[in-house]
Amino acid sequence: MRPLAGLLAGAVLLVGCGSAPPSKSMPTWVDDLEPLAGRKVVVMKSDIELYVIRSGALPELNAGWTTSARKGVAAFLDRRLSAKKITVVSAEQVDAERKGGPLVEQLVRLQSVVADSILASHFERSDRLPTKERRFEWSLGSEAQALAERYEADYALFVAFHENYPTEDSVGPDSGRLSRRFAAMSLYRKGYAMLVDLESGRVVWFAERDRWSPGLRTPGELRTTLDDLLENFPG
Amino acid sequence: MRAFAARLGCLALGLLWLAGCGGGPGLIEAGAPVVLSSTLKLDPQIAWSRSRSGWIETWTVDGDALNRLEFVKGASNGDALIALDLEDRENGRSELPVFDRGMTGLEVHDLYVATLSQLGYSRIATRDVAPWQLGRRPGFRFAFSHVAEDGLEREGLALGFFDDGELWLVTYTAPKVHYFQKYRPQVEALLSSMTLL
Amino acid sequence: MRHFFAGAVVLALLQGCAAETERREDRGKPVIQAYEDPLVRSRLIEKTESPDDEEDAPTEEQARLDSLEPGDKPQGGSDEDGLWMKMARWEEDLSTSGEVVEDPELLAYVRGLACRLAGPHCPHIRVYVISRPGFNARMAPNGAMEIWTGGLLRLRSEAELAAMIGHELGHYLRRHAIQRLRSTRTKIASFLEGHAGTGTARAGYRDLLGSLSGFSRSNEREADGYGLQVLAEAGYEPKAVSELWRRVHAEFKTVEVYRNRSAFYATHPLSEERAEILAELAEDVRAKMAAEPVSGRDAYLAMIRPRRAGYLRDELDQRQFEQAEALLDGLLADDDPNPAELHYFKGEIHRLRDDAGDPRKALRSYDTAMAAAGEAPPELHRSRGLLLRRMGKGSAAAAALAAYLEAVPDAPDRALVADLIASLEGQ
Repeated sequence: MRPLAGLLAGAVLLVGCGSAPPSKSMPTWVDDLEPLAGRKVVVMKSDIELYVIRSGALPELNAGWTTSARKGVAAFLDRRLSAKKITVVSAEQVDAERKGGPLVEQLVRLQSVVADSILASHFERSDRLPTKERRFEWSLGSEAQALAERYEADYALFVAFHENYPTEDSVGPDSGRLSRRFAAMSLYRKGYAMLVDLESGRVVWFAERDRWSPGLRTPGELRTTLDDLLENFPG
Repeated sequence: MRAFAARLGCLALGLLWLAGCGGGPGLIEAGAPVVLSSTLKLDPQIAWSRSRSGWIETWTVDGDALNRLEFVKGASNGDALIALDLEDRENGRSELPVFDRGMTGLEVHDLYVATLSQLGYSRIATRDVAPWQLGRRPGFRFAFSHVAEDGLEREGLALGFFDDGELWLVTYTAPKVHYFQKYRPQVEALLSSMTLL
Repeated sequence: MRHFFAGAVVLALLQGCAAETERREDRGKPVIQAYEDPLVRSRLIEKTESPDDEEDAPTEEQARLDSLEPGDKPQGGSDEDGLWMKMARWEEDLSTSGEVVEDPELLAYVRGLACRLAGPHCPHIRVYVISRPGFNARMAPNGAMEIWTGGLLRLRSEAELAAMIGHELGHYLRRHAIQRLRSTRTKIASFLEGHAGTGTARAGYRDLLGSLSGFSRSNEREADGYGLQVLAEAGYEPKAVSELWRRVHAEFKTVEVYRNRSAFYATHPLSEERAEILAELAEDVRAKMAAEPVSGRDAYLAMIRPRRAGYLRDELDQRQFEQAEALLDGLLADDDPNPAELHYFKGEIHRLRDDAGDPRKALRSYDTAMAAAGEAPPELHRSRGLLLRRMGKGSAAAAALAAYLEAVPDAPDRALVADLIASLEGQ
């Protein structure tokens, strides 16, 4: 880890909101999770955006990083799942041939809202919902069968990464609160993978990006980050 | 004819001035009656996470965006019907239309629609706007649907009554896909359990 | 609870830099040359430059940034490429959002005009009509243009719509987003450098960020020039530009701070002086036109008037009463064939504002609407009934509400209205 990042990490930990710590003990997958070997998994179009932060805290989408990360993640998932004897369907290929209907589009939007809620409930330090503390129980509903039909798959895998990377010489504001916030923004790295059973609509497995994973800017970093992310992936 | 850049300055600002920390939501246990503002008693059948902000409180199971019960607990002159979050305030949405004591159910219905419209919801529609009452308190109910800024179609229902000139309004909102139906029976049971103290 | 990505996502729009665009072989002749037109350019600068514009003047680098040629795409991996990628994602979301208007006739009309104005750029732009109050249109650097229904409501002719679209095309073709974001980056960096070691003043930094929203005045001047030129090239009345600005100024100056959905006014501090300058320029451009310019007023109004009740309702939902009143007065002064509808909405302003004297004014407006030419929405009776009830006139209120139910037998609020009628009659 670069010294800058370490410094920023320290600063961010200091600003944390200090309510309940993340419940690391609670698994973010269902009890009856089945192995995926022999099943069909559609890899949904990834939602990946990598930003560079130069001086002054303005994240700018970096097209080069983003394009290669999108391709790299798709290739990695294909390899990784195939190696586990899972049949991989690429949603992007199907989508390129014919557009999904309104229900498919709503399901994709719903998935993203559900993922946000999972992150807030199981991974954030503040605003966690007491109703979600006892069991991992999330769903897109039986409407998810529309995805099963469209992609002819048993499960859907959603992957998202939105990450900020400061440049080596990036400079932020030079006063207590502002600079802590600049540090927090510079360290902003969110990502997750979410597996949905398309028969029931249940979210059967979810993982948040490990905060110490290196990111997606180079093939090597990408491999490490995805290995970390999929550490507990079924099958 | 403003450019995209126009809005961004404020948002940059928004991110820099991100909210500080508040207390997290509390828990409402299933089966334990709840009393709001010493006025309204409810019997929840399932557990809810509860957040409070002034005269408005919000209950959810899976998160605000997935299912949300909102209680306006006796709005008086000048009170808005929805609690603004920080992002709304950063975007300058601080001047919501407000309730006044002379309003009828029809006018509260219009006020709710205007509030949603002002908050940026689109395709707002209401139906089944009808009288309703709680005990002897006159009231009204309606169903609604809209699309929020996250692009999700949502359904909702609203129940309101007037207590000594103050407005009590309970709304339930959830995405049309799966979530609105998911807890609908429990929400309807909760709403029919409402009694005045 | 909001998307956790939202902050970072939108922030990223604030980016761009002077990446060289990749040229395609098949470049056509740019249709929009206004800013290259020495006359327009020099007059715009000479007439609008003021001493406090100095920091706003285009830098040499910005001036060197080539205009977009038809089909140009940013160089792969460049910052401009990142901006386009960001906007592509935004456009994908927008095009399936609840706000896009799906009215084939209206879309064909607006898109047809935009296409004619854009000429060889037409295949590379996409126009969306967005159901949103407030006077606004905007264009993303990747060729996606938004026109708000609140904008359509305030225009009076095809020529004015052309002026608005032309202005946005100007921003797009001159790559103002990139220019702007690049200068933003520079300004922030130099601010931070200037304050290094001294402790950045929070208020100063916040003011700086606030001041960076919107395009610079030189960008706006440039877009004005394009708007004017493109309008004239398509044969439309150049004076539409200045008339539009003058009218919008008259409406929005009524509002001390017009916030919310119409940040437009805040980011386009339009002086009457600028409107005058545009009027003069319009005369110059007009004199050079070969044929008599057209306004396209009838065609435009025939398209918009049947649709405007919904747009007006959206405006009213914003509860910006002074501004809405100025808007309606402007429409009424414009020889409108449906004053009944406009008087109804004026009544709504007074009923909803409910300040001293408002109820009487509201009643007068409703009565005027009922007597005026054209047709007011049947909700007039509902509003009138609610107003009369507030004024303590129970039986008149009941009659008005009954008239509403008669006019709209399948009203969604029939049951509640009937209940109110019953209670009024019981009193």
